[in-house]
Amino acid sequence: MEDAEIVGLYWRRDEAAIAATASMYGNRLQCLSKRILDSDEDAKECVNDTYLHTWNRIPTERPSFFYAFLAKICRYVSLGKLDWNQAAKRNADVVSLTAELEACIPDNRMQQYLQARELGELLSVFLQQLPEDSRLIFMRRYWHMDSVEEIAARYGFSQSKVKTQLHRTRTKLHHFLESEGIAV
Amino acid sequence: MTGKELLEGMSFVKDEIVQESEERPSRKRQYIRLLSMAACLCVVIAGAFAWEYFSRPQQLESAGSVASGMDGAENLQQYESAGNTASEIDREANLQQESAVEPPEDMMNYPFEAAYIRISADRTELEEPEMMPNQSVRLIRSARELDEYLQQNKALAHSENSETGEALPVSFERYGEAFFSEKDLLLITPEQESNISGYEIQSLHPDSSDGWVIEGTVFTQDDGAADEAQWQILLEIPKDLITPDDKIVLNFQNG
Repeated sequence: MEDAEIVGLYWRRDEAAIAATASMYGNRLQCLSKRILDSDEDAKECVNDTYLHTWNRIPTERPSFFYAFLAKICRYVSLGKLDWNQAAKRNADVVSLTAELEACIPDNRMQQYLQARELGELLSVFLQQLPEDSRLIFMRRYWHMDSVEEIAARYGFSQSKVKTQLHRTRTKLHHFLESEGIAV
Repeated sequence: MTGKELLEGMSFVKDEIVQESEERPSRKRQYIRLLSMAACLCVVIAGAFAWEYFSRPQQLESAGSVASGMDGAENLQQYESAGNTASEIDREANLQQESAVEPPEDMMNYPFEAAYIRISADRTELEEPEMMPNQSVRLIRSARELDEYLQQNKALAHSENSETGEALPVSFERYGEAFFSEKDLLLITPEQESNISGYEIQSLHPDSSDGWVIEGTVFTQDDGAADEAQWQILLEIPKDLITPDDKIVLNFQNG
């Protein structure tokens, strides 16, 4: 099934859209989430959350790149889950209390979301300025969270080339963010 | 800003950037990479062949008389003028290079033309023929050197070519500047015995040290000749094959 057809199912509010999405992209989303969380159960939970978010956002949105749309949601949800897991490991009671208090802060999560979106737009501008090789390597490392070995194998580069490119791109990003008035 | 916030911000880069990084590297991209690698490999191989090809004359030269004794460039030039292709030249040069390691005997020999001169004392107008030193070899590289030699060895002017019967120095007339522009001349005075009826040179090749060996056969007869004959052999050899400093050994076997 084509992406446009699946998106069409969402627009018609047809629940078959979820099954079609799971069939087409379930495994890839599971891998992406597991790479962040290192847990099959948590990854599965995040993928299900991804379907739910997608259901809620289409309509009104109509994504041009459906997998990218799904993956971004899945990644964001997984990072949120990771944040929660790490906090939980520190001290369950404190986390619980913090969560209770955070609920009193109006739109705390929304503020973080908006900040992340703004940062995402800036990063898009930065990434589009990069040469293709540098952009792909950077995305594979910090978006898909591939290892250096995996990136080298994927593109047929040497590991040293990948490491060098990453180092240079990080340096460029540092200067870019500084020029945009963001302290890093 | 923390690294964690930056990592979260990455979640919001544009869809097309995410999509681009998700796609498998295109076949075209892989082909370009493969083609680049193949091109590099070709350059390396071509470079290796070129190095081997152009360094060979020097190797032959440095090997000197032990390996081949012939100037590599001249050798190649000879083949080129004969219309051989580059690969044939290469193959031949390879054979010669191999011969430096363990050469077949026939590969070591060099082309020559020989003339055999019998100098009869009866035909000389000199009271006593000027006997040239036995077992000696003299390298003549120009017409002027030859004239000087003939002046010193006047007996040669009263001899004849043993094969053609041509009187000398008529036989020497062909050894002018034109001849010496392409060849050198070796004047060989072999051991003289009264019962020697003739000589035949079989081969010219480098020996195991820095010298050259001229192999030949000496033919004898039961009865000694009545005249006080003397033999001299003219060996026409490739230009600059042998230098004045090279040692030359004569090795004649009885035929």
